[in-house]
Amino acid sequence: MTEESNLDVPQAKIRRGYGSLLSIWLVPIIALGVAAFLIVKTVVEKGTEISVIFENAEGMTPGKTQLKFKDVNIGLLTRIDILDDEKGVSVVIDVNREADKYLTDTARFWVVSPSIGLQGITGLETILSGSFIEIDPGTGGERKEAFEGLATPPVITSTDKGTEFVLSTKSLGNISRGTPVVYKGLRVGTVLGYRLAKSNESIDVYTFVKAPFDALVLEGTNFWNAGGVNINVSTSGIEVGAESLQALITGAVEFDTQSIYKNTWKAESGHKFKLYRNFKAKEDAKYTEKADYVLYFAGSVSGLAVGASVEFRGIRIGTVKEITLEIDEEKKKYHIPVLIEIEPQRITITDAGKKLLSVVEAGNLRKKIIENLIMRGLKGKLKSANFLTGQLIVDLVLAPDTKAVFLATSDRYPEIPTMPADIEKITTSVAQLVEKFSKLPIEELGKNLTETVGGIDKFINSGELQSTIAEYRKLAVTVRKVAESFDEKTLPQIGMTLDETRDAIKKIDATLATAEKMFSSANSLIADGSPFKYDLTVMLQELSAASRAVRGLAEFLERNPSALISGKR
Amino acid sequence: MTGHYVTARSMDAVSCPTCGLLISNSYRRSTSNRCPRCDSELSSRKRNSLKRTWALLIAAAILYVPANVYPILTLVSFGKSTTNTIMGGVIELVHSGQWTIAAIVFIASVIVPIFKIVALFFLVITVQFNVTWHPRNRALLYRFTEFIGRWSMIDIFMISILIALVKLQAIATVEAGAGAIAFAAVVIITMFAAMTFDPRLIWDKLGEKV
Ligand SMILES: [Zn+2]
Repeated sequence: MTEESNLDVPQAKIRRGYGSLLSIWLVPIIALGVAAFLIVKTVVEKGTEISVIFENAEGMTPGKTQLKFKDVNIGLLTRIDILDDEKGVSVVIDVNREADKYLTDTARFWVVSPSIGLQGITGLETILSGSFIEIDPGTGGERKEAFEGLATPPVITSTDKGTEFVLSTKSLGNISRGTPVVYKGLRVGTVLGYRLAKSNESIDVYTFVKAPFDALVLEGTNFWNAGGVNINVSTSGIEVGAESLQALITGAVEFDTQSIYKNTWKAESGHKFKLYRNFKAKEDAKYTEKADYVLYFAGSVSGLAVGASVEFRGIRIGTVKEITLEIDEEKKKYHIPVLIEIEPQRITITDAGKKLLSVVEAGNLRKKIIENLIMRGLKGKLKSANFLTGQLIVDLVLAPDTKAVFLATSDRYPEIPTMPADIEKITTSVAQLVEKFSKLPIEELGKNLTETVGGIDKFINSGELQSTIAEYRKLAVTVRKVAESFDEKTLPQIGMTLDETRDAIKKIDATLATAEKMFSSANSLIADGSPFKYDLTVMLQELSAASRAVRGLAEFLERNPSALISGKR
Repeated sequence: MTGHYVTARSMDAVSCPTCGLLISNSYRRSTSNRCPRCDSELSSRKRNSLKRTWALLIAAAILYVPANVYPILTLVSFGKSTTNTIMGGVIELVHSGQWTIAAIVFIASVIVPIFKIVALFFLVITVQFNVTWHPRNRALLYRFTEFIGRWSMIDIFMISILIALVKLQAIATVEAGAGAIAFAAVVIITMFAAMTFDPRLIWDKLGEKV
């Protein structure tokens, strides 16, 4: 500058002047550097622009709505365009460079916003933060930059580990996509969707069970629709239960494994299960394995009905399925094939040493056990279940000494040989009982009882009471047994006249009634909780049961006096 | 323009930049270049004023771009972060009905820096090219520029207070963005630019013409 020349000490001024001149131009140079650095940084960090098509842009704001993966921001919505056909919107998202690897053709996008749906209340956090777009990167594939967004969040994402199973059902009920799968009330999976099975007769429900819960799904596991209300009528009253409020509204699929299947094999992915209509249906169908056998009984099977139980040593192991009549024209013979259905699952295999590979194999093994039993002399015979009604059941017994006769007319079902029923034996024992019965000092006892009523107060605290009670209990039980064991068939064997029988029965009834009345009054005198009280109560129950049985027999005879002579018609 | 303006220079004198004492150039030449009253170094005009102002203005203008393009603050609340540029913040304030605050922020952060940069450019250009147009008005413009300059600091001040306040609570966190640094730089550099500009230069050309 021109002023400098006027100064006395120009050299110093000039140097300083140049110094400050150089330094002052450093400022814009640095500014330029900073700006350039920022621009370069932005360009370098700039990610990929992708477009996602959604039905609408509800809750989305350009510059605000974020793209998230596992709650980490990986991009920002920069623009919303309405599609040319006006059928949706295309949102442009600037995806961070680090997230570039997620942009493949398996990636899925959806909007997370607060909603109340099948999976409960979701996206609650978005009330405060606003909606965001979520990405499920999927399992990779080809690179892509234009996507179609999902209308609803996917039921499972690619990061969910678990196994998919197929449930076959006749009717879908309230099951839909997103219906929870529950194990002991714990949500462990989801219904992915459903499809009409190839046969068009059932529906395949695709179900996903998350790890590690998928390990609970065994080949013997039962699935049932737990939605709605369960009403369970039992001896303890009526129990109304719903799995949960959610299950009530949206339905739920529950599964459980019976204890006998607890050590079976984990079901493979895609394993097909039956989906029971409800808990009860599942309980009823507990035994899914059925093995049919045929039995030919000689003589009449009257009293045997479809549905009658098949027992082995008193344990029900099956059901009578079908009773038909076969007539062989040529041989002038007739057969009555009785088809029974044994449920092998009622038989538990305890042989732990045996290594089994599948439920099917276990089923086969159980069937084999029955076949082995047949070889070892398993026979079927008719057994009276109820002497009064004449109901019969099929009793399976091991009788290796009796010759096995196979009568099979077709080989559709394996045959279990039969042996004659022990009707004669029954009759003999009944006759013996009747004899005992007629010898019972009923009148005497009744008299004694009547006398005792007066001295009851004295009685209560004496040791005599207990012995009387015990005596009466024994009597009552005997009476009931005798009365119940009267079968129409056995009645004529008694050998009494109708009137005699009737009178005897009426007498017994009257005596029992007196005894009952008397003890009832004694009962009220005794303190609650005393052992006498218990004995008395039991005795009273037995007395009334005996009374009822006797009365039943009497009434039957009143209505069917001919039964005494002719037996059952 | 008529040359009836009387300047210190036209009187062959120099005024002390510190205490304003008018000292004749003959005194400076014969005795010392320092003020006899306060011992400040004497200079007829600020040294390299125009060049310095130019450099600072150019730097401010460059930095004004990132100051507006980059987010000035990042608000993280409830796990969600919001970044805002200056204009974005103003627009948001308008949307939420905070007209007064929006106006204050807009004036302090957008209008004032622009006004300062434009006004200073105008002044240095007119001085550089010896424009003699309305020197009194230009002097007024300069004084006004210097006066409002400090108010553009209001934004940085607000951000600092906001950060301090919010950091004390745990609900949200506020962080200054790259834009805030650039903006602070713009404010400071324009203040220096206004400082280095010597308004006396406005009158010099007029004096020379006389
Ligand atoms: Zn001075």
